[in-house]
Amino acid sequence: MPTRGHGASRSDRTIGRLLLAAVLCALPASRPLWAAEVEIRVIAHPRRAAALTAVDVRAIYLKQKLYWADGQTLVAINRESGSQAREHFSTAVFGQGSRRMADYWNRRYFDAGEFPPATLASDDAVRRFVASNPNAIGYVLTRDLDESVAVVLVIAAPSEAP
Amino acid sequence: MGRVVRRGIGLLLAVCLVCSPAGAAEPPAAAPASDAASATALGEAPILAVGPIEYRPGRGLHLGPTGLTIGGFTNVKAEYSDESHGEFSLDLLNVFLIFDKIPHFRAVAELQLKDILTASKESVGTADFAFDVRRLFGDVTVTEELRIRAGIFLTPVGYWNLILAPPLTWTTEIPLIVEETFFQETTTGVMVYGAAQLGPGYLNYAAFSQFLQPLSDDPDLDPPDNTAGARLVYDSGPAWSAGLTFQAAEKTSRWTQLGAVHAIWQPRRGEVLAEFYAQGGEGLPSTQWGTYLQGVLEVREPFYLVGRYEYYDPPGAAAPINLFLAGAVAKPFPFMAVKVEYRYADRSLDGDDLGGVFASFSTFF
Repeated sequence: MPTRGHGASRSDRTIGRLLLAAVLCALPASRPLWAAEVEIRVIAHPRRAAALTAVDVRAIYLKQKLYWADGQTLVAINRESGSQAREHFSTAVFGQGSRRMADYWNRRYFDAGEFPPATLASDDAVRRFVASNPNAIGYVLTRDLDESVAVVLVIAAPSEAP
Repeated sequence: MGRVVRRGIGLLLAVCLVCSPAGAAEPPAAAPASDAASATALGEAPILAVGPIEYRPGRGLHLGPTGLTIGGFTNVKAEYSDESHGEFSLDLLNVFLIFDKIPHFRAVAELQLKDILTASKESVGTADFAFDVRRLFGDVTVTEELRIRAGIFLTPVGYWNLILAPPLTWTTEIPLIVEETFFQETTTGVMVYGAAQLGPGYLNYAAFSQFLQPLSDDPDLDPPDNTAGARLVYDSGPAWSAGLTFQAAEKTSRWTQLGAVHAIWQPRRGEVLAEFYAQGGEGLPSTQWGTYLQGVLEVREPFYLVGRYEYYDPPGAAAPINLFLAGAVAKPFPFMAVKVEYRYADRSLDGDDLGGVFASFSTFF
């Protein structure tokens, strides 16, 4: 009996190891299970508190979507290129870093004389600008937000450097 | 001798292609770049500011409260072929004037100085110099779904014709089918266009018509009397897009019809682009068609490799042409490109040898 019991336990362990190996093999190589995520908070003026989708946000930052529902012109604010917030946002929303996105803006500049969204250099600057402009939209990494802005979307992005 | 040099450079490019670390290399770790330097490199931060007047590299000089921006691009080109035996040219200097002070309205002018200076073994001079108002249009945005463009604008056929600025392209030489006479580079008339969300992306449409004669007196232009066309493009963010274009053109009561398909896929480390044009009608002796497939691979930022295969079946009795191109591109800044490429064609077109080595430097300013 002890031998049989001991044998069953070893069999269980073997199956367990095989299952673990199968699960680990099934994970995408570039994204370990234990990789942390950062949360990017897309913020707008409290008057614009209705939730947005990721497709909306992408269209706003590509200047495909230009107006709020009431016809007011959207004012999208980027963080400066090279900043963690910008690179996380760019990779999560567009699938490309800010340098590759410059190609998109080169085409828009040439085709129609259009320019990319303006940039601000800190989370706090973005928060203050958005709080003071009812047509603005921005994004921050900080969770430390007050009621001066409304969080309209939270985007999860891998924490490793894009 | 030229053929030997051409083959030697072709071999060198082939060796570079084989030895490049593209296949094995992991993307380089993100350098802890200075934010200010990075922003300047992307043309987002001004490098010169005097009061409200700011200059951003690659994005022009913005004249503050006037709403006027002055920018443009330049292209310097060199080529070596059996025909040219070496030629250097200050190829293009294009100046943009952009006015966007008024909500819902933007005006764009593009003035082009072409073949400003050409130097070859035989001569140096400005004999080919030409000035052109290449584009001049006003854009009214009624809604995202309804915009109106009137004036002279790039004909919205396919993909490449809308990026006809050397800093935007991966090769010095444009594909033969874009260069040949499937359609006019610009349209003088009106375009109604817009975009609407469809699933995870945007569906863009354009309906355009030429009913005015171009301003330019370029003798090479032989514009149709009237054109009408439509273009549909599905755009999934910057990752990929695909589109269809149809254009009918009339010249002295003889009609041609053009159909075009294009697709572009832009993963993080490269780009694949393909276009197909076919054109027939009573205005041509027989149907002409052509296609190309181009691939770009980021070897290590800012260095890229590019390869392209082209096929062109001209109208009439002329035999089809197969064309191969291999090249390398460096983009020290996103608005600047240094390119070198080798092009081989299995036959000439109208007596012109299409092969050779081509190099260029181009930048937005």
